This record gives sequence, C-alpha cells and structure tokens, in this order.
Amino acid sequence: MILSVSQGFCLLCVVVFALGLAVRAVRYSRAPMHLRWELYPVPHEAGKPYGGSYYEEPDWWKRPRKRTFSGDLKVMLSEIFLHAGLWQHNRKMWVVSYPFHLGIYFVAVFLVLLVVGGVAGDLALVLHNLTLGFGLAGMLLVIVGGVGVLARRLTDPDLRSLTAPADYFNLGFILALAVTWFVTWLCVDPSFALARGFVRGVFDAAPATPVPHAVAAEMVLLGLFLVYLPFTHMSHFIGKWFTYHHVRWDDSPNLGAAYERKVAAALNRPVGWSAPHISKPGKKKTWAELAREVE
Amino acid sequence: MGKAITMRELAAADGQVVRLDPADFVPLPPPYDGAEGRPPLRSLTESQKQRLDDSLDGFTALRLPHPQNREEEDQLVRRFLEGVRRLLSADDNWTFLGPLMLRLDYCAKCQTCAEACPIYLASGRQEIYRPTFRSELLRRIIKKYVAPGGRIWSGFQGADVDLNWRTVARLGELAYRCTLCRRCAQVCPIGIGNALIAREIRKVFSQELGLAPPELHRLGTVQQLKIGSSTGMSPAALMDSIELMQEEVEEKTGMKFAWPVDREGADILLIHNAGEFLSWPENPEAFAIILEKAGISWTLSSELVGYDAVNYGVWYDDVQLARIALRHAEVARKLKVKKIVIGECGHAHKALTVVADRILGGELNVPRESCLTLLDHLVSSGRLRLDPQRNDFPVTLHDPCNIVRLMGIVEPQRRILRRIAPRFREMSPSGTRNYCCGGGSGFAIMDGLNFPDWRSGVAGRMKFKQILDAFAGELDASVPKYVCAPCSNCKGQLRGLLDYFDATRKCGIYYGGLVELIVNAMADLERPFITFDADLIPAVRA
Repeated sequence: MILSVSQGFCLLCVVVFALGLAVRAVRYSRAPMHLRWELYPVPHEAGKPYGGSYYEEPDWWKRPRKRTFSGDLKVMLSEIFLHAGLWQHNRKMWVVSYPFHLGIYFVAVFLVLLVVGGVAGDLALVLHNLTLGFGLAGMLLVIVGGVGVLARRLTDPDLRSLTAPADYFNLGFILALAVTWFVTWLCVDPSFALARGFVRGVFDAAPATPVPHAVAAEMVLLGLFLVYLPFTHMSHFIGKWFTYHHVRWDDSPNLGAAYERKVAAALNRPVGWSAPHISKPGKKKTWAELAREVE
Repeated sequence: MGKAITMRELAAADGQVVRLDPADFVPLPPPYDGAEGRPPLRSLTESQKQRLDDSLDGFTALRLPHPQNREEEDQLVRRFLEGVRRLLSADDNWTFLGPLMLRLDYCAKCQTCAEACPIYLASGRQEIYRPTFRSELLRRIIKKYVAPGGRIWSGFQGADVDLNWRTVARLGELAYRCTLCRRCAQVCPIGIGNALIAREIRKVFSQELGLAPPELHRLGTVQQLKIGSSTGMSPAALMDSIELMQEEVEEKTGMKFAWPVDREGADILLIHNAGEFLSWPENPEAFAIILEKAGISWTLSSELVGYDAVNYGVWYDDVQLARIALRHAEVARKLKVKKIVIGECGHAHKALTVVADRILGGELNVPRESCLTLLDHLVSSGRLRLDPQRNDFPVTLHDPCNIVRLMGIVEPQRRILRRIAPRFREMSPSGTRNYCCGGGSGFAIMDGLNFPDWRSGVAGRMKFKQILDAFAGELDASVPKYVCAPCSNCKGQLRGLLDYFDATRKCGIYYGGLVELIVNAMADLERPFITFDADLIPAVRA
C-alpha cells in the first residue's frame, strides 16, 4: 500500500478523530461515581408516562423495579432523528438547526457509503445512487441549515450575546467544508468517483493514483475538520449519551454490594477544601472522617 | 426587556450593574394588573451599602463585605480560583465532577433554557438572570484562568472576562439568583442544565472561601448539627412543643393520645421539617392524627438532628450535606426502625432519599420513603373515613420541585386530592413542568435585608401568576381558596408571597399542607380542622 501525502494525512486524521472521541468517552465514563441528580420524567419508568418514579410505590425497595427499555429508546430515537426536544421547546431554532443536523447525518452516511464503495470496488447501481443522494442532500441541507443557524446567531440578540468567536468559526468551518465538497462535485467529480477512488487508494495495494487538486483539497479539509471536532463542543453527540444516561436518567438506587463498594471508595477520598468548617490543621481528612465531625 | 449587558461589562462596571424596575416584570392578571401587581422593591440602606456588596442588582444573599484593600481583593480572587480548581478535582469533588464536566463542555448556547426559567421570565428577561449567563461566566473563567493555555485561546473562545474581585462577588451573588428548580435542564436539547453550575459556584464560596448566606450555614447547617435543628430548637424545646401540640389535638378533635417519641423498633421514624413545629404546628398534628387513626407503628426522634429533616447542605455545601444525612441515618439505625418517612418537606425528601443515596452505606442505608406515598396508601386503602364534602372550597396544588420534578412523586398527592377535595383544580403547567414557588434552594428562609422583596417580587412571581390563574373567576375574597403545598419551604415562600401581594385579604387565598386537608375531611371529627381567618372570611363549615 503506497499512499499519497494527502491520503496518508486523511488516514491519520481519521485515527486522531476516533482516538479523540474515544478519549472523551473514556473520560466521562471513568469520572468518579457522582451523587444522584436525575430529572423526571425518566422514560424507563414503566407505566408512568406523566413523569412518576418508583418512589411512588410504598416500600419501593422491596419491589422489583419496573423498567422499560422501550421508553428510553423512544425518547432517544425521537431526539436523535427528529430533535423532538428542540421542536417542542424552541421551534425557531429547530427550523434551522434540524436541517443542519439532518444534513450532517446524511453526510455521515455518505462518507460511510464512500468508504464501502472504495473497499468494494465495482458498485451496484443502488449503492452508487445512494451515495449520490445522501451526499448531495446532506451537503445542501448542511449549507441551507448552516446559513440559517449562522443568520440566527448573528441577528437574534438573545443568541448573539453569548456566542463566542469559536462558535462562528465552527459554523464557518462546516459551511466551508460543505460548500467545497458541493462545488467539487459540481465542477470536477459529478459521480463522486474521484472521491471514491481517493478512498479506495487507502485500502489498495496499488500505488496512489493522482487525483485533481480539488478532490485532494476537499479530503484534506475534511481530515482537518475530523481532527478538530473531538476537541470542541461539536462532539456533543458523545456528551449527550452521558448527560442523559449517566445523569438525567440515572435513577439507580444504592441497593446491593456493587454500590456499597463504590460508596466506600468515594468516602475514602481525601478532602482538600479550605473553608474553616472543613479544613483543620494536620493531615487531610477523608470524606468519611469529615462527615462524622459535627461542625 | 432587561438591560443588555456583557460579561466584560459585568466585570468592569462600577456601582450597581442592574437596577430592577417592577414595570418591566411579567404582568399579573386582575386584580393585580395595576400598581398592586408591582410593589416597589426596597433598597439597602446607605449604611448597609457601605458594608456589603450589592453591586449586582441591589440585593444581597451572600452578604459579602467589601474588601478593605487591594490585598483582600487579590485574596478573594486567588482563593476563588483555588476553589474552582478543586471543583475539577476527583478527590475534592467526586460528588459532582462528572455532571459538572458535561455541563462545562457542552452548552450549545441555543437559549432554549431561558424560556423555561421563571426568574428570567418574571424579571422581564433581565440578561443577568438568563440561566446560561452565570454558567457561561464560570465557563469562561475556567477557560481563561484555569484551563492549560487558556489565556492564549481565551479571545477565540469568547472568554473575554476579566477576573477581579467584582467579578467574583457578582458571580457569587448570581449563584443565589437561581432556585435550583432545574426547569431549564428539562428543556435543554443536550440534556444539561444550569442549576448544577449555580450550586457548584455556591460550593466554591462555601467550601473554599467559607462564604454562604448566614441562614443556610451559620444559622442553618451549623446550628442544626450543634443544637439539633436549624430553627434553634433544642431536644428539650421539642418535647415542650410536642406537649403543646398534643393538647391542641385534644382540644381540636377530642383525641387524647401520647405521641410516640424515641420508640425503639417502631415501623416508621417520621422526620418533619422542624419549622413545622414552630410555624405550622397543625401540620405535625395532622400527621399524628392520621397515623394514630390508621393504627400505624411510628415514632418521632428527640435526638440531635433526628427531629429536623432539613438538610440545607443540599443547596450549597457537599460536606454539610453528608454530615446531616449521616446523622439522620444514624438516628434511624439506633431506633431500629424499618424505614424513615420524611414529612412534608421537599428538599429534605430529595436530600435524604436521592442525593445522599450514594453517601449512605451498610447499616446506615435505612430505607427512606415519602410521606406522600404513605398517605396515598392510607387514603386509598380505606383506613381513614373521609368525607370530601368537608373540603368544599377551591383547592389547587403546588408541586414542590424537589418532590415532583426531581424525585418523580407526581400522582400520590393527586390521587388523594381527587378523593378529598371536590373542587380541586390543577395549576398550569403542573406536575413535572410546574413552576418553582420562588423559595427554592434556601430562598424561602433567607429573610435578611431586602432579599425577601426580590424573592417575592421576582422569584415567586410566576408562581403567584399561576395561583391567580388557577382560581380565575373565584378571586372574590369571600370565597376561601386553598393552595395545597406539601412542602415546608414552599409554604414559607407562599406565606411571604401572599403577604407581599396582600392576597389573603384581597382575594381570599390561603395556603397549607396536604395532611391538613386529609384531616379536615375526616368524617368522624366534629369540628373542621382547617379554619380560615374569621375576621375576613367565614369559616368553611361555620
């Protein structure tokens, strides 16, 4: 396998992207067990669509918990695919944000299809058409939605007041990426065959085939974006899993040995806070020791 | 529309940043659509202003004294930053590090949360009360002053805030302009919220700088741990109070029985918010009547902390939270009860049942249950003879955030009301979407200086609007109306709110708990348990 510089760079970017996201996910999943901070409705509470919990049952600790995965799944799917919360609570934002995100989903599918096509070699017509359809629809939705989001951020005083230069840069980056790919498709690569060839070259044993500068440029720009994304709040698709499943819906009661061990370990951590009601001269105390003091 | 203000201005401004004008506040329905709906807000006196920093909005919860010299200013900033670093440490903040990281990393600044915040809406959309404002201020301080390389990237990341003592003082006050109701988190598309950040800021002030509103710390948790109750009530005073309440029960109902105190091996340890003993003794009395009539094995505790369910630590300090939760559990363990039942106190519910759940281990992990669940069970099981016609007056229900939105106890209290209050109607919105009373996170007990004006005028305004709307068409003062609030702090706030707007005299609006309504409906009691002010309104069943 002999890669061109741009192919090698893009491959490296994909690796950094995956690593970056993995580091984020590991960082959140390895955070210490925290105190409970759930928020109702919690959709896995079976038979309580109004937002009830197992605390509504007398002697709840003696009863088997009635959980329904379908409740969680329903909310997750409607959040992921329809942005239902934003639709319900901020329609003005949804109108621009939803097409933008839907476009990103389509582009993600397009990129997967591009890789599949690159690996598979000769394409069935359906795969070819799917690639084309998802790619173009995705790019157009990203451009239209992205311009809409940008316009909202620039013109709505409520949004403008707290929007940082980095937020504009992120939007601009995505728009530049979508426009570059769209223009390249329009002028140079109408079937995405060149882009597919670029991807194929990564997996091929044959020496790299030169591609037009425009195709190399769109690929390098995509690579740069992938490297950048995990270090920004654009990685919220990772964070959202944790905000929902590890905080908002985490209503697991402390019953059983596993929690007992975690509680004991947490309470053995040393405390460094300096306020007079906590800190006293001498060795740092643990949470367990401090909690037993009367202050 | 509130004054537009940037974070840079917040840090730089001399004097008061925002001056609230009641004319900007959200309008109220008649009869409060005129000047009655916009009582003036008191300012601090000149001598108070000389001593204390009120430069955010003219109010002070923290009562932070002005630094006397540059050294004190620098020390405040230095120690604040040290505290922020501790927030990001797994040892010092294992309690909330995970949720905090997510909140620092992922706000999209879409402002969806602003429309859910009762304080932001009620104030006429004051920028400083926008839920994301204080969160973003902390986020920017961390980006610029704590994160590696922060100063290089701060401009790009919008972290243009300058950290000086004013910024610190105003951020500290801002943390006490949020009731921690978490309505904002419910609507956040990413699932984060701003209340946790407000609480984390409070923690920095308390756990690192030793600064907290005196009602929460010195007179609150410290007093509770040392004397037994945040009310200052000692065990001896409790016993006197119980004796008086027993006599009152006999007088009101003819029922003569000794309240069980420190009865080892009882099924239930009932812990009230001790404020009930002093301000609303009819509430513990009603509990005693119900449990006695239902034949429940129960007891109160007279041990230090064991007779006061409050845990103000849940609002501002994890160490104090843990200390009090441990005492509650220890009292129950010693009495060998089967479970703790928490009286009508919202934050006590959440603190001991939910938040402290991962602090209590082994023998201290005594099962905890809400009184609403128990009461629902007793009412539904038919163990009490109830006649709903005895509650034939308009009743609406206030949902305490801590019990409903944050614990998911929604239906038990409604099932009871549907059985015993024929003229019950919901507020809108209700259940998990209900508005905070405005007294949440300690505000209800923070009575110092001019803070009560802000609490009633701004924080409780949406709740007052909801109450008026719920009773629309029946606001004549001759029709007594009952706001059922099964939470001591909410009742404290409602007391202040109705007084602030003179709503009992003008509109005949009263408030009270749920157990009082249950006892009022008891068919075998000769006299009504609830009496409305006879000077203004005839007693319901006179």
